[in-house]
Amino acid sequence: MNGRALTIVIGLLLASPVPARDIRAFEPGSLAAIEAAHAGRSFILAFWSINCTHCPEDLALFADLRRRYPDLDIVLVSVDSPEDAETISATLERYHLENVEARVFADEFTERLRFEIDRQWHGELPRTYFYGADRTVRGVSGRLDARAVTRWIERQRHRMAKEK
Amino acid sequence: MNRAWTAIKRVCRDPNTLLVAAPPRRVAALLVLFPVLAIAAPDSGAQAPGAEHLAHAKLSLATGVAFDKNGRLWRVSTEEQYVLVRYSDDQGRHFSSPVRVNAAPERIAADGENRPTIAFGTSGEIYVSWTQSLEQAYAGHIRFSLSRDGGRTFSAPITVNDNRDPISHRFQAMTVDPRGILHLVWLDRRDQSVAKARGETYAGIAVYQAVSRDGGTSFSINEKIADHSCECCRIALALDTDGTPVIFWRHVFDTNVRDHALARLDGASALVRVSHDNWAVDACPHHGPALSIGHDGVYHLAWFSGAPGRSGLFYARSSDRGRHFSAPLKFGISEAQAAHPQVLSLGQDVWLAWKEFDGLNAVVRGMHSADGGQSWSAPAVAALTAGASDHPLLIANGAEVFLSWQTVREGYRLIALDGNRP
Repeated sequence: MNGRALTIVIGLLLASPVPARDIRAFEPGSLAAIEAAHAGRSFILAFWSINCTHCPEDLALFADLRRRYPDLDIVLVSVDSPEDAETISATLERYHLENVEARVFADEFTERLRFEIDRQWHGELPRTYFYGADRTVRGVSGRLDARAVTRWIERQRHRMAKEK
Repeated sequence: MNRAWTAIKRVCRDPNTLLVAAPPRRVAALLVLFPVLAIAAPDSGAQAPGAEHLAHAKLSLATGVAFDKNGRLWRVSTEEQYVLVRYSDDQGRHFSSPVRVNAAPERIAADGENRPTIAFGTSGEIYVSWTQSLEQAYAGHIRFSLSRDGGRTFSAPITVNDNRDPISHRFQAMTVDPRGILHLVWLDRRDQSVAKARGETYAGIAVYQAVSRDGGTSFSINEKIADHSCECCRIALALDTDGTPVIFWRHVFDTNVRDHALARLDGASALVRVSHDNWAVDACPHHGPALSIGHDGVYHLAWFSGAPGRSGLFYARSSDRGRHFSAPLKFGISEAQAAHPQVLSLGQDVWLAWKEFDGLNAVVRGMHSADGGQSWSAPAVAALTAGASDHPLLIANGAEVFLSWQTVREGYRLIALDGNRP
């Protein structure tokens, strides 16, 4: 890291009494960490951007789903950069998603991140992964179909109930 | 202090994980360790070959390049809130000190699909255009400035879009035809906004253009070329042999089929559908196409599709000005994220270049055709980098073809290609 970057970093941190909490970094290794943290439970991992036209509709859907299924686990990963944290945070608040786990790409080598996430994903947004409790994973490109997502959630809940 | 302002400081941009989300006491430790560095931050002074480090915050990789008729290479990029122009007389080994185009800082949209562009008038003018980004989501204005003194000074920027609503006017492309007429095209949300206000649906946004017939002093009223373009993919623009600009873009067919369309901007030709991949998706691919037209008038086209079962990069050619197209040729390794194709034709010699990721490096691979795009060499590696990089660009200086590539690790690179070695 060169001196100017360090200056900026220190300047930002000095001005901030708040440690990073709301929006966490998504870096190499983050995917495995997220998967491990949700081991044995179904969850939705959604990639979005503040510059993606079709992402707000999915954010609204996630907010609605969280109201209907308060125990639904969702991880939202913005593919923007940490310097967009202000906008990301404001957007999530607008959609009442401030309590959902939120991350942001914190590695500008985005090809490396995408390679780790899914080699079949070419960067189109939104991109959403549905992790079943049995670790089946399905990736979907584009705006989600609310009915299909609801069916998936109901199936997961049904399965969980049966196992109990 | 409002919440939005505190949020930005919660994550810092540096990829160094130690510093991301460092708690306050670690900051204190850093200051103890590096007080001198923090005060005496060196600026990017002399420009030694290949020694431009881009790793500091808020520096965009998006670069526009072009050779002028004297073989001088011009490069336009952005830093913080300024558009910068540099030139090189030794094929990219050394560059002049950057000149600021906009004296007043402004927010600039500069990423893979949205890059500043540079072109040259017939009387020595240097034209620069870019997208200013606004506070509102997806919103921007098409900005333009020119130099009449060989790039020493630039005019105060003007906004070219005559609709000034804070909505999307972005993804500009620019060229100058042989008569000296400057053509600017971009993606524009104005019609979608009107439809939305009326409660009507409108797929995608629209392609608009403006022309300047007086060397960039003024622009025509904006004219719509096509309704229903995809929202955030670059527009490919090339000149036909008769001087007519031709554009190639990702279009929205039906309600959400994101295939590609071509149009000759001759005021008479209709939109032609080029690709039939049937990628039906409500998504932003952020993945625009490429177009090149050589002196033989053959159109060479390359694009990306994410259609299930038909995902990847494709190439096609048309030898009758877009009435018929060859069967699309799939190229690149899809599982290696083959992306962001470029095509360049010098007639019989045609080059393709694109980006892949090999697990460690971003790699620009290329293919060459010696028969006008009918057959192709095996793909070969032209350059690679172990860090972030811009999309690759292909540019020509007369009969010489180059890969232009901005990378974080190596800085700006101009790499000569030949028939055997893309």
